Amino acid sequence: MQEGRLQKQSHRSRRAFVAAALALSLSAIVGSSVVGCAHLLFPLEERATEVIYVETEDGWRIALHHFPAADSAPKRRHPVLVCHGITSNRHNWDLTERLSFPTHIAKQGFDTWVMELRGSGLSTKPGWFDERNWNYNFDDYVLQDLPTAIDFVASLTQTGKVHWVGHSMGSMIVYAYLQRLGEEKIQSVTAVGAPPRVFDSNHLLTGSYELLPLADWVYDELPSGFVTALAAPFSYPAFIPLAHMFWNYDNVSPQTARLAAAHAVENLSATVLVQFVASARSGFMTSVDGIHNYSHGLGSITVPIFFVAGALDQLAPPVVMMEAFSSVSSSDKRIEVLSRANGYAHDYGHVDLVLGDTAPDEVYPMLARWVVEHD
Amino acid sequence: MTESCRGRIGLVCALIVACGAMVSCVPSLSKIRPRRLYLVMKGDDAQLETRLGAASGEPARWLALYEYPMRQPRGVVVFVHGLGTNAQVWDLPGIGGLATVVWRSGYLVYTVDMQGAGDSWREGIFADRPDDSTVPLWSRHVELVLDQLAARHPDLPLVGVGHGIGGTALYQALGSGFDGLSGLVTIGAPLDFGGATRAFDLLLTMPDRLGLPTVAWRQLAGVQLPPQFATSRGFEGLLLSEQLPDDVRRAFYRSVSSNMSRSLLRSIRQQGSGREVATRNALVDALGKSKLPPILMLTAPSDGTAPPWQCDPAGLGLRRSEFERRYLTQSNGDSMEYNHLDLLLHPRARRDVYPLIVSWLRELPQSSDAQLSQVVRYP
Repeated sequence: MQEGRLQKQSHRSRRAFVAAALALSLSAIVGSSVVGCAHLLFPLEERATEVIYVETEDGWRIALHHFPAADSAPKRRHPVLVCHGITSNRHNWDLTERLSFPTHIAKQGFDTWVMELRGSGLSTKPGWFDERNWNYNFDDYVLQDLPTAIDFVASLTQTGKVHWVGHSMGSMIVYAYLQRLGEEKIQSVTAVGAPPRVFDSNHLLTGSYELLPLADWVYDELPSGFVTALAAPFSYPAFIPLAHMFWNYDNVSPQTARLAAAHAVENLSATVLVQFVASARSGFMTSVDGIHNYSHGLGSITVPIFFVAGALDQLAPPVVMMEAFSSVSSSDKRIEVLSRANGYAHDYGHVDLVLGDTAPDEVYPMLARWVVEHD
Repeated sequence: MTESCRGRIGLVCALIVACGAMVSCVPSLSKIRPRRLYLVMKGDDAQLETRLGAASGEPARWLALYEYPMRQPRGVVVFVHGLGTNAQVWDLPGIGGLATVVWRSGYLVYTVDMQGAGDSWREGIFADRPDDSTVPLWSRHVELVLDQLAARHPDLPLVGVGHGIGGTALYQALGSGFDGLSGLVTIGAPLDFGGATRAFDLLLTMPDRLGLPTVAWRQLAGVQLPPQFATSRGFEGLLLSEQLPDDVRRAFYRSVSSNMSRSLLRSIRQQGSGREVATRNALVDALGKSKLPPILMLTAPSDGTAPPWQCDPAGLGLRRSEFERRYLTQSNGDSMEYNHLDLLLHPRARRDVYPLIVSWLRELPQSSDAQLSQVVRYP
């Protein structure tokens, strides 16, 4: 009788396991289909005229999307190299005809390139049967991806220098690049919503830090792109408080929010994420080996640099952008906080600094003016 | 009329009487009538008086205080208002406010009219003496108030609550070595005036632009802003609130809006000295070295008058365990984005801000003799 009971239990466990595996597989299939549909439901046009691939020393392909200078515009001396932020890609800067800073700056006469870091967009992403994996880190961006892209774009000019424009982590990496590899190839930096370290003004985010490194334990990749694309149809209005960390929803249209969710978010290396969590805990950003303190090393930066902060940005709050402003040794530096009390239409949030409804009218011309003045 | 009818009528009457008795007994449901006191300052001396007498010898100045008595209070909480407001910002006539909520939680409450505001000494009372308010002078007055209240209630923990430069004055009292506070709550209170918003910078110059010794929010309501300001929000919308309900807004302009002297605005401007960013300064250094009570620092990213980069000690290089820092913003789960005045007067502040403060107050260490004290000593 005991044997019979045991057999029954074993059958039940097997059935439960099979059911769970089937449910998981079905969810993955459905999820992938929905994500695929998100791209179809919210289609995008590409505005770059060509994509050039350059290879890093460690064998990763970096995509560079080219926006040639408008023929009718004044001729400029240096090209502009634009970089996206964490978990993003080229659409961070180029989402629609109107919401496209590369298009705007190219019309001012600048030969413009939009790079995509490893693991993003058309740059190499680790695949199932690829020897590459998601275990790259922040320093790989700094020491591999950036030099490769900068060297290529700078080589196209007589001056050998580029204007750098980066959003969020897209300029955090240039802070580190300037410290580790020097300033010879950088004509100017525009740091949009780019903090020198992770700040603790948002207690919901701070609380989630304890959970995020589980991504490293569960898998080596945070499925941020997958999940965000899945939720693209529901990305407006904000259903959870954390969503307000990315946007000021008064400054974004439903279409923009859904397009961005469907196309502009990528999965993230869990190793990079762990480095950011470490920054949040320690109060500064360091290299993965702990030798270089990128927050404390800002004092070695002397290139002309423009810090742009959104009043409502909780990922790069003005308080910590001002810290970066005070730390750099550049004699030519500027900071602008985009708030209503400073004369702007909105208190800008993190992503609406580049993709907000009023960004083309208020932000793009301001960034372009800085680049023109420092060409 | 049958007996059962009489019985029912009698029951209803008894219920009405009982309810009326309850209403008169339960403080939360009755109208609060604060008692007015005066902190009379003659030279270096200061004394709490129940009325203003004729000044003799050196002319006196005074601050009006409003005492909300409480039997067996948990502690004493003193509220210090900010720029261009007065004590009624804490207890708006007919509407109430943070002071009334804290009082109902069982605290003896004082609200203060700072110099130039409400019933305190202000410009125009003596024709030959302008309002010479400065931030350091406000700070000195706050210290005198705290000294008097600490002496008046020696057995009770004393907590300061400051809005805007009222909070700055409380910080300065701590930085100067005042150690009689058991706790401090600051709401949109700058530690440094650098990095001011353009609208606030413009405000600081308004007395000079208008050729007046003082200006009030009421006067500025109709002022057209320069074209650089994208919208037609005006000073009120940019620096105070765009979202106040009409009744609150009317009550603010009727009862709360007070003079801002040219001297005080110049003092703030001088301390900011046109700097692009807020930076660590003497006050922050002093707080870094001082013995600090628990401090709850509240700030709001949409505060145009006192933005977080002026208020957050962590941004100015001061990391002390005594500070509990809280940003009031939707990404932190709050219900709206708060401007400077919204933090006190918007109805949603009752949901987001007031409970935060009350629960923080309750967690403060209490005086062991609090329950035994008879509390109020009237001179």
